Amino acid sequence: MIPLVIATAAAFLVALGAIALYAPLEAVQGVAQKIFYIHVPLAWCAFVAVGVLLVSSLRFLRRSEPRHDRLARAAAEVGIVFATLVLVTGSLWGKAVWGTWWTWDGRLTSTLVLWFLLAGYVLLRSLSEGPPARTARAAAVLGVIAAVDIPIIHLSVQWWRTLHPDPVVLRAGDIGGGLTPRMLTTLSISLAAFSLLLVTLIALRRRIAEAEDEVEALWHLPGRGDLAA
Amino acid sequence: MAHAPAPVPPLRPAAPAPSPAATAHVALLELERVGKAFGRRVALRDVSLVLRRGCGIALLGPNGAGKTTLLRVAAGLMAPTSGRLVVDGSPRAAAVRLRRKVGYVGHQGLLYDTLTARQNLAFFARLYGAGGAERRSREMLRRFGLERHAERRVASFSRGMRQRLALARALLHAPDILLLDEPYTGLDAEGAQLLNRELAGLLENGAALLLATHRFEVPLALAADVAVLAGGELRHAGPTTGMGAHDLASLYDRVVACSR
Amino acid sequence: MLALIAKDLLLEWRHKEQLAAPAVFALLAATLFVFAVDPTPAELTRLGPGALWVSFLFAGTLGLGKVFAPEERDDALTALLLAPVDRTALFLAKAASAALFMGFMEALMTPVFFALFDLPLLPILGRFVLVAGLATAGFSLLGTLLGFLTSRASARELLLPILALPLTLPLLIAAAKATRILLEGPAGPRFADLHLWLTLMLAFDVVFGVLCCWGFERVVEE
Repeated sequence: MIPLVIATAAAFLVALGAIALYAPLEAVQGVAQKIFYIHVPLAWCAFVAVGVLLVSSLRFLRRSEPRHDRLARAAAEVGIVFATLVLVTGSLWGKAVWGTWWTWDGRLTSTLVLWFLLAGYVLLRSLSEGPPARTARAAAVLGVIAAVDIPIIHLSVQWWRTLHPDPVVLRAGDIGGGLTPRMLTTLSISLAAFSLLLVTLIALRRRIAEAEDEVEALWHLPGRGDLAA
Repeated sequence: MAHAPAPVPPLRPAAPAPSPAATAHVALLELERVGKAFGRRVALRDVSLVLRRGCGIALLGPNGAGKTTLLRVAAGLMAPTSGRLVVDGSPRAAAVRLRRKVGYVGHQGLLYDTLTARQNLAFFARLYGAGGAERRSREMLRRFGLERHAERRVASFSRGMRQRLALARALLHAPDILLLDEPYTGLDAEGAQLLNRELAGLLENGAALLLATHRFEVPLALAADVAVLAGGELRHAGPTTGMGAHDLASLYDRVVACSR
Repeated sequence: MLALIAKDLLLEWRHKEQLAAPAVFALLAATLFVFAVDPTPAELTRLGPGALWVSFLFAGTLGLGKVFAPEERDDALTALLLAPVDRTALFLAKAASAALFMGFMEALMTPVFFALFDLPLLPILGRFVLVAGLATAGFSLLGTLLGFLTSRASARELLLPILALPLTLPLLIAAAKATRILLEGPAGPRFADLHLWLTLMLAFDVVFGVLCCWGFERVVEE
């Protein structure tokens, strides 16, 4: 765990250095464009977290092993942090570039809905009072449903309104179009640093969840049944 | 804490008695080393039991011993985390094949309290696909002495009447496998007698019975075997032949005391 | 399965007043919307469909919590699970009951809404019923499952809308857009998009119909 934390910290130092010193100033947006190197990796991580939630929920439903459930729980909670930061950085960037804190454009709006879904998942877990095994199964089903719903929501929101410029980076045909090599390098470094952060946070959260489950299990040692009931 | 396994009476197989009518005692439901854990919480560990045609097993054990969990697993309501169920000699899709055969009574009535007694029974009879749902539900109401209350809503029932109706619901489809969790709760003497009569009749017709209870006199009347569960483990299984309620009580005390 | 639905209808009939509550709530929401926005008659064509569907879905969430309430009160669900009934049939019967209640509320309120907003209902009635049917089906399927998932949660009345409304956002968007296109008539600028929204709703219903049956089976077995 500790090497992972150190690696993340080091990666962040490099990434911040690259963003501040190595990446060129963009001609139109100036310094404000540099938030791009934070905003995009954050969004990437939020969606990866949802992917982890989907896979571990499915695994839990198949095997009923608590470790899959703990991973799902960790991914959702970390995902909500990243989704919040995506919205905040997107808002800041929008204020600087478009002159408005918020536009109801397709991608920003789907991220907001994603935030709602993850919040709902975390709320379901924290408000459920039944047996933990049943809560875990209910949450896993919700995790799968939410993850499947996200592309559908994204599509419908796209159809609902599209103002956003086409995705800057991954345009079909010319990957990296519009970005200079230095920008692309900086983005890659930042992407790596944020991915490491995602892994670290999920791992830490999962460790806490393990400890929580251990404490919970202590209350239900065999032979203590009549005390715990 | 149960770390030092105290001397426990030897575990005997559930029903060894090779009676002359042994061929009639076909196994309807077998639990093979069934375990159930919720995460790290172990509710059942390696429980093996065989429910045979015409045989009753009394399930004894202190609160929290895992009796309810065992009954829910046996009813196919919970999937065991280890071990398996064998129904009519085959483990395939055991939980699904159990559905038609099991009559289960739990802690709650499993009833709709805004419907009348008759509507409740008629609805469940229809689910079991038996023709003549109305006729069958009237018959069950009569057998449990509820015919005068057939058109009353369950919400207005007393505890004992509710329990009678819950029993009528569970026995509606003349199930082969009876899984009863403290069925005497709330019943008056007459209700208990009605229940005993029904159960004796079903056993005679070849049903198998697993009955969780705290009353020691009950097993002697209905169950040829007794199983004692403590801390999620089967601590004793054996016949009740020749035992009085007092003998059973002291056996129970000994077994449970050893497992603490 | 018919026996299951009939039982649900019978149960609901015992609480007729509960059927009226969502309808009253929907009407209230729409009235408040008009007070808050103060739209001109022309604006009502544009804003009315949105107000209508937001009201319907809000009112719909009120009904969802009740779908499983009678099953939980005395653990009657366990008795259903013990019966030789397929889990999928069990779930679909529940969802069908939910859709019937919501459809009843909509049938009651739609004429009132169109009258209040001074919009023509009769010319578009057939296709509006199609739109409402698709939206109601999808909402009931997901909502029934969510009602079951939240059955052990405290503050469930709050949690259920928080889960159901974002998940069914595509239905809200599609139903509101489709209704508006219908109101603008075949001469409207986006009449050709109508089938797009209908297809979106149909796809949503199919995907979540399958997924919810699957999910129900996974949660119901402990």
